[in-house]
Amino acid sequence: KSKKKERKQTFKVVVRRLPPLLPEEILRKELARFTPDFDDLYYIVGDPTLGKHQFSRAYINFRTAEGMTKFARAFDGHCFRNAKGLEHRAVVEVAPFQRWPRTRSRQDKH
Amino acid sequence: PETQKLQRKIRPPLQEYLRHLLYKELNVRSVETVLKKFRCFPWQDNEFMEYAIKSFIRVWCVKFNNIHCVASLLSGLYMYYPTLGVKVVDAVLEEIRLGMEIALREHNQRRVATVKYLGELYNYRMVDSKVIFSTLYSLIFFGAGTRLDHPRHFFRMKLVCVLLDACGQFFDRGNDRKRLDIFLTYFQRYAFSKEQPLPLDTEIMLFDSLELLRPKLKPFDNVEEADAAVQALEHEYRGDSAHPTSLDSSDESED
Repeated sequence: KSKKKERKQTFKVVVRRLPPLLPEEILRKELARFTPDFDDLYYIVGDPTLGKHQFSRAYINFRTAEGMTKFARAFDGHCFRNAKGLEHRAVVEVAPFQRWPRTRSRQDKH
Repeated sequence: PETQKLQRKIRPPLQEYLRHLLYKELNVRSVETVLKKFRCFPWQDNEFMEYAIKSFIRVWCVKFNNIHCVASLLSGLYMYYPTLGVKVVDAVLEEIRLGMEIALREHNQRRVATVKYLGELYNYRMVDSKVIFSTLYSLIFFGAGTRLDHPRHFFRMKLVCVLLDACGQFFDRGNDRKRLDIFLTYFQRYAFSKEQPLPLDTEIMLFDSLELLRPKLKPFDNVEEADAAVQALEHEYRGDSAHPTSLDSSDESED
């Protein structure tokens, strides 16, 4: 019962422990130099109920394993410093959940 | 002393309605009707979508026994609104991971609910068994023996048991069955790495989970037995990429 369609494999990466108030534009600017390697990205702001343990995250979809490795080497431990001098070191990991939000879904005709 | 009146947060009616459905109305009997109501929400509105994602993550606001209804609802919405499903699962896994990294006691209740939720998300086919096994292994290996998971702390054992109780019964065939057997061996050795004897409630919880999943299994009596079993496993599968614990072999379509 394997009707699994061969979809093009992509590599979803999560960048964790970003500053909670980091604006998306700044992150996108930082990531711009990797754009040839990835095709999509979404950004999740930190959860305020976690107080000082809140961090933002970004999920990036890479087209190739090489692109992903290159990014992880370059960006893991990347330091973000805010105006008060507070430092946040980004952690790059393979995302534990590899599905990507499809842009086209079934129309809901309720 | 003067008692401060609790300020009730004022939210837009739509958000209040969503919260009412999700946190109050939802139960086993109402899940179908709640799903229909959810499908009428304005999902194209980004702000609403953001709020819905947030509400679906806060599963500790739901009664513990109704957590599976939230998973059911989410999987019912997944085919129409995949973005919701993916972002909620992402956040659930991050919540579990970050919970291990910050390890604060005041988050315990919330962490138990979240782990239970992950198990139910497996039952409703939102995540596959690889995700469950990698979570199980990270629960017993991440920071083990350090401040994050001290030998005198038994909370991670609770998390493992809750996850196993939620979805372990479905690992009863094929590779998943083997994977679970192997995990249970590691888990028992992990239990022996804790300060012995285990507190009574932890011990009961552990044996209840083992009994539920593998009624015929004879639990290890001492740390030497558990160590020997783990070593035997590691010897048997050394350098074998078809190892059932190797999470690379793809058998997602296995029913």
